[in-house]
Amino acid sequence: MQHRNGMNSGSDSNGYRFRHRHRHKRAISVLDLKPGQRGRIVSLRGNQKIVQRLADLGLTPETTIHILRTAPLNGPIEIAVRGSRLAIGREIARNILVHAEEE
Amino acid sequence: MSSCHSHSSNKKSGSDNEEKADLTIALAGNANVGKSVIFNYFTGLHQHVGNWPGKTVERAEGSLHYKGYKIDIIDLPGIYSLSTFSIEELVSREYIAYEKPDVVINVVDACVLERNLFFTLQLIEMQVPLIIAVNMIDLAREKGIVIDEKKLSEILGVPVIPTIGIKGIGVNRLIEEAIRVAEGDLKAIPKKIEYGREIEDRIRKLEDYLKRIELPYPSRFIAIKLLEGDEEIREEIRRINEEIVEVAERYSKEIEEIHGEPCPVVISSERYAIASRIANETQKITPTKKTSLTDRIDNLITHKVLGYISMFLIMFFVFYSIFTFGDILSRIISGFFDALRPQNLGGYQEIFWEGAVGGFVAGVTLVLPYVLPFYFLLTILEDTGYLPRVAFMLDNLMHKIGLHGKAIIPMIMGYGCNVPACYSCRIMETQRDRLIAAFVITFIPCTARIIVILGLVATFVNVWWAFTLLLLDLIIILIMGRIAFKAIPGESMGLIMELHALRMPSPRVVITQTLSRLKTIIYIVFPSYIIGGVILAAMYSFNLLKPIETLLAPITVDWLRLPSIVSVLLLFGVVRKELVIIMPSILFGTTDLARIFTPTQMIVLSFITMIYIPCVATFTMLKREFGWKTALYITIFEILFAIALGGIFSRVIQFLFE
Repeated sequence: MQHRNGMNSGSDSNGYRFRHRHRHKRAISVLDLKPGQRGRIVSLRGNQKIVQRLADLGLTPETTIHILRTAPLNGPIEIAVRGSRLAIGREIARNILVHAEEE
Repeated sequence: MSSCHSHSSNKKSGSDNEEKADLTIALAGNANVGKSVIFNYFTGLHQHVGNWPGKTVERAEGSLHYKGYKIDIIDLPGIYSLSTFSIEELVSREYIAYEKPDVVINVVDACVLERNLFFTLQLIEMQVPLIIAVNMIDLAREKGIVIDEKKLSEILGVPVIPTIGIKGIGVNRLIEEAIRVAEGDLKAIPKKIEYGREIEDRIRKLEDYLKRIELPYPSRFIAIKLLEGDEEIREEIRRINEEIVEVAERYSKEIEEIHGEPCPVVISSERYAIASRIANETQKITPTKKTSLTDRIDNLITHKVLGYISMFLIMFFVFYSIFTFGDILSRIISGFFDALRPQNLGGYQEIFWEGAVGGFVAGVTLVLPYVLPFYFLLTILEDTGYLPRVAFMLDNLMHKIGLHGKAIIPMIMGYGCNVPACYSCRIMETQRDRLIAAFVITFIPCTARIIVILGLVATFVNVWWAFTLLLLDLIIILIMGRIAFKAIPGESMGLIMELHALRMPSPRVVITQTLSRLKTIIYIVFPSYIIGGVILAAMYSFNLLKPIETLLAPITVDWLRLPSIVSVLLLFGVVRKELVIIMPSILFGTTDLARIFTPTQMIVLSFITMIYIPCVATFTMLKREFGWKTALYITIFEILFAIALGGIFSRVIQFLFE
């Protein structure tokens, strides 16, 4: 794994939230991707337990994920990551930040 | 021969005789990898499912005799990690560290190798003798995935065996290799897997600090967990030496600064990088381009219109067929028992018969024709992978009611019987979500209550009122969910759920699961029926019922506007809800209930029966899963709620219709 040089970082009181300005330049929530699109994870925000859970399921920074579908009625999204498929509730998905990948 | 492993722990084994086991094997792996299928293959009927002491986590253990060896096997819960995310993970790692099984068989899904290896790497950090079963290689082959198990074995330093659990292929080989490992004939201590330099350096320094500490976990494992900020390990180490914890915290922050992510995320990322590298070196994927049939079905059931229509149709089909066939079967079985029953007993003896033996008979005539087929169909749906899609489609709606998306599954089960439904709440991760769901489930009309509604209202009033009651019940459920969400403290968790490919249900799995659910019912419901029945019969014999009837008359007659006998009926209903309509026939000697109740009274009585109290069996399950206090609170709440609402409802009907 490459080493990154120390960057400006700050953490929030309710979890880990790091602001690295160039990384977040075009970072959008995974909810903004459409089914069929791919994204590369930039960072995960939110509750520490959930962030860790997502990381343990394969959603780590620099990982490519593939949006499969969105449930109707503003429901969860289904994404493909590392060969498996995960359904993730909207509120949690909102906090997964990605860079959209060009087709 | 059997001398090697005198330390092999036998203390909590589920073996069915007291012989010491020659070796102990633990099965570990992600959920849904076919671990339990393999476990069942090993143990067959010689298995016992209980709980880990003091915890609501299932513990499945069994034993097997193979070529002269006695082997104890434990099926650890399906987990993704060895952190403190869930009790399942804690229980599993404590088992491995403290009980030191001779071999851990890590069952891995060949279709999702990379993700499964993430867990494998954590098992490797625990430095246990490991054998890897690469399962479902047939499904993988269909997807164009081929795994080179020799290469994998070389990289990890442990035996790797391809298996197809549901067909029993490779399963014997697993046992044989396990025996060889236990005997010392085969090496199975995994090779050390290294992280990046900056992490390894700090691990090494922590290991130095940990040299003097005696814990059942390997020091490398402890070091990594400390860096990850693992609460349990941190507490244990803090008690021994606070300085180490502080040093570890400092190291974590340093790693955070280097990588720009929280340390636990960094470590997970690196583990995945390693898992990915290993997967790439050992598997070959030739993508199959066709949109398979399963993909098309998936698209259908998650479609914004067709998805909900198909869901409705499937559920309708299930409920309709259960109640139609159930009714027929039930009559046959009841008829059979009626023929056996002595006629014209009258009075005491009839009550006793109805109480004790009737309890047993009721269990059979309710469970066999209705509940068993219902769970059979539901388990088929579950095994196809359909139910997670239902949770997917309904998550947002459930959220609005205050429930977790996954709660829909136990809620559907609640229509059969609340008892296994409450038990199934374990599929949710947090205790709060489980409790909210279980509370709501007690309002879901089980078979017994549906029988009351159909037998009383649909028969003697009209079908529309029966529907109205069920609809009212749904509204109450929606409201109760929101109230519970606000009232119950604790944390909830959003939906994070793996979706597996839809597949044909496996008969073996469906039957095992259905029987397992049946067992829950039998061990809790039948004793409740029989003991409760005897108590009620005794109360009748000792003339305790009349005083109760008189005592509660202000509530039943004045407030609820029902005949005073209702207090006795509802008391009987605590044991079995159907008794509410069976007892009048016995006590008044007529099956024409219209002679006892007015239409309004029937409606109100059915309404109250639906919501007034969890039956004894359900109470027992609630107590087991959530403790006495919670079970009592729920019970008292429901009694008061039903009485209040019953009186209001009674007056509303009379006002509107009379």
